[in-house]
Amino acid sequence: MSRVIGIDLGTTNSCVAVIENGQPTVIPNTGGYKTTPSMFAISQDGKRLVGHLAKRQAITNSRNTVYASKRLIGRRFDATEVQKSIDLCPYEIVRGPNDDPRIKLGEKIFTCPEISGIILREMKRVAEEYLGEPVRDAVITVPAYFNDTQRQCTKDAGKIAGLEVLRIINEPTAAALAYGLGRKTEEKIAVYDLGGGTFDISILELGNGVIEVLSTAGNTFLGGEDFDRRVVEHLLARFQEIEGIDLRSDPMALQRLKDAAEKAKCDLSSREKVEINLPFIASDAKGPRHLTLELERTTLEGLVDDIVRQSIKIVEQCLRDAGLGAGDVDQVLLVGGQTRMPLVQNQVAELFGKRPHKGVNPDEVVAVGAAIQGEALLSEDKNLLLLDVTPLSLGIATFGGHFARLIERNTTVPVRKAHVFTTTRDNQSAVKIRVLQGESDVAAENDLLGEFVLNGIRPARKGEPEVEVSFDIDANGIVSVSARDNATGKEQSITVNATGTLSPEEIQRIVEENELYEVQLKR
Amino acid sequence: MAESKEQAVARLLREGLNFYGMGQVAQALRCWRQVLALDPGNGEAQDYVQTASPVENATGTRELDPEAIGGPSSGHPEPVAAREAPRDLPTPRTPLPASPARPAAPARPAASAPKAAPAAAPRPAVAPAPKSAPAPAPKPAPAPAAPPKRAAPPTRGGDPSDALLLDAQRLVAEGQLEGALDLLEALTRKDPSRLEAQSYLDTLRSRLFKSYRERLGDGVSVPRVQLDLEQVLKFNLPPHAGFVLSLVDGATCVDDLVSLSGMDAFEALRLLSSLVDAGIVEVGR
Repeated sequence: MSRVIGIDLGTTNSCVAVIENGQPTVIPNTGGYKTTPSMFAISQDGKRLVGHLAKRQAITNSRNTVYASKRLIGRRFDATEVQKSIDLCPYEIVRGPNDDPRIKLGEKIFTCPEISGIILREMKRVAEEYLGEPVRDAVITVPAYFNDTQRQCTKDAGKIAGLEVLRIINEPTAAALAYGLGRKTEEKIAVYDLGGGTFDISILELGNGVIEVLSTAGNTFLGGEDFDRRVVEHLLARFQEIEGIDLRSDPMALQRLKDAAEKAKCDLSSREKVEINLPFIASDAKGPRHLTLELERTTLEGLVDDIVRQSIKIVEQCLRDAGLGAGDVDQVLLVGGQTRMPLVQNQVAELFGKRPHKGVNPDEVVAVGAAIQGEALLSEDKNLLLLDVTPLSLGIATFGGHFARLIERNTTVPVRKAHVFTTTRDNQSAVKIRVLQGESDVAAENDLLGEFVLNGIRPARKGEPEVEVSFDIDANGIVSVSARDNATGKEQSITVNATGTLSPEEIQRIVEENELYEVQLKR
Repeated sequence: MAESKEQAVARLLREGLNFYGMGQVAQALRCWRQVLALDPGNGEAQDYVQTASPVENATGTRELDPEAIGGPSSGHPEPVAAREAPRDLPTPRTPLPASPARPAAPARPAASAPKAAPAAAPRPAVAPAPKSAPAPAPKPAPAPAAPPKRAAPPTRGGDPSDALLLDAQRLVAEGQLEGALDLLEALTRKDPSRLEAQSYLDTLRSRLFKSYRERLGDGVSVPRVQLDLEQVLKFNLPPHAGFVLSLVDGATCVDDLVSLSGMDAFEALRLLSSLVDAGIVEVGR
């Protein structure tokens, strides 16, 4: 087996790491950056752009630039997150044939796993360029709240990228691994993850090599980009005040402002004041106009204080859900580039009454954890393995619209559980097994992962036949379900292939299309 | 058929405007003075001479041999600024970057026909160069005070579009491709059904595209900014050029820059090429 890479496939940025001589190495991309924007675009001249190149033209070519597609992956078109994305994103999101959201760029429609696959392929390329050898195996991280469909779609994305996904692990679990936590002592940790586009808080309980997610919460539309937007608005207002020119309708000016705002924000984590220079940003009858402004850390903090407080409120709610007080948490881990901001660190420290754990770069910590998990799989070192739990309960819909749980949430995976059900009508010859995931007792309120029919049940009075339903969750959290008529031995099973996931044929078609594009590029 | 006095006056006024637009102030003045010789009371020519004379004095163009900067056919090496001046920056029509260290190109007056004015309207004067231009570059000349006050007169006794087309063809013959492009774009915008002009424009764009490509090396060449911010600020760049300049980071190649710009490849290359010509950007491997 070749080396295993760990990939943090983020909403806004992605990162890849590998273990070299026992130490994790975060792999820089061609531009020398250790994170790559999770962006994909088709430029006006028809070229496919990924990462930084896509980001640098995201505003001037907004209709054809995809970002934050992770918010859409594995969801139904009618899901709240998808509908909100449709309202907010300049690119076109359309309903796919499987009721899944798809993205239309020009004349071509992309599935969400395809977009993630393009990002993953770029991360694979970055790793191969650095290692000087082909890479096949990977561990990919996902948010702790991702359901089975979202995990499967992420796995599909890996296949599209030409990767063998050895394991899908939860992002907070990866962060804990990177810090080497939970192997010996039992402790409760909070993972505060403020990335570019999303905020996640997870309260974990670690011990005996098992990581249990006590609670998880977040906001999929809260992140560093909100901070950037505030800075851009501030700069626009200041410029208008000084020069009398409104740049809001000028995409080129906005692109420059967005880039400058993000850079200024990052610089202000280590400096008290920065100067922003954008020459020739506009012109009027008097000639060219330059934007030259100073931005102080205190000003930035004033602009974004309410956003940070919003995240703190979510943390408080998450603690309540876990039945814990802030003082019960032993360690606080920071994940995501936005946690570099002193204001964020101070408010988190204030809440928990302790300084957050430092030592691993917040941009890289998840990828490092994934690489550690990959190395453990490679070496089959059981001591290094931390086991995940299933984030949501799994079961089937039963008569009357009830939800029968077969596997409770927070059950350590892999796991197999079975339960015997029966028919509700006389001489019923078939039963429909509807596989659900969620916490509601009402079946309709949970996520439908898939469904299948078991035919050929022996004719009998209602309540007599015995249909054994088994759930199998592998270490990736991927669910397989089977149903068996104990009388006839007839059996039906599915690997849950819910709405939105791709068939093997579709995956193969996408892989071939991508290969064709690469060939065209080389010509 | 012999040219009438009126026709000669109209032609000379138009030629003067074209010379002025190309930065050849001395030749422009020569045309307009010829108009005054033919028609001493011609108000337009008087205005133009009055406006352009200070420019000529300030830039010292009077001392230049007009033939030396006339065009490739003269056989003389061309001063950079004169060769391509004014180096128009692509859409929207905007003034060229004017290096303070080089003879400043005058603002381009209106095209010869009033109807074309919206497309080829008088351009704002390039920014006056500060007196603290870096040594050893020659002290920059002040930019032309202003373009002639009036729009160019209509050609008398002929279709103004014909006159524009003829002007464009003459500019092409003189190697003034950028100037010709301006006129043809104005003409095709004004009269899209004029297939002859459209065809001429397409040919010219292809020729210019090739020349930009040659000037910028192959697509994998990497442009780099050659000047610091203070020096760059002495130029008069339109926002589009400022945007392209902001994309030049010393790592992104020409092809990627074109993709990043979000512009038509021709326009992006045209802007980049003008930045190279102005000495702001250098293209290397």
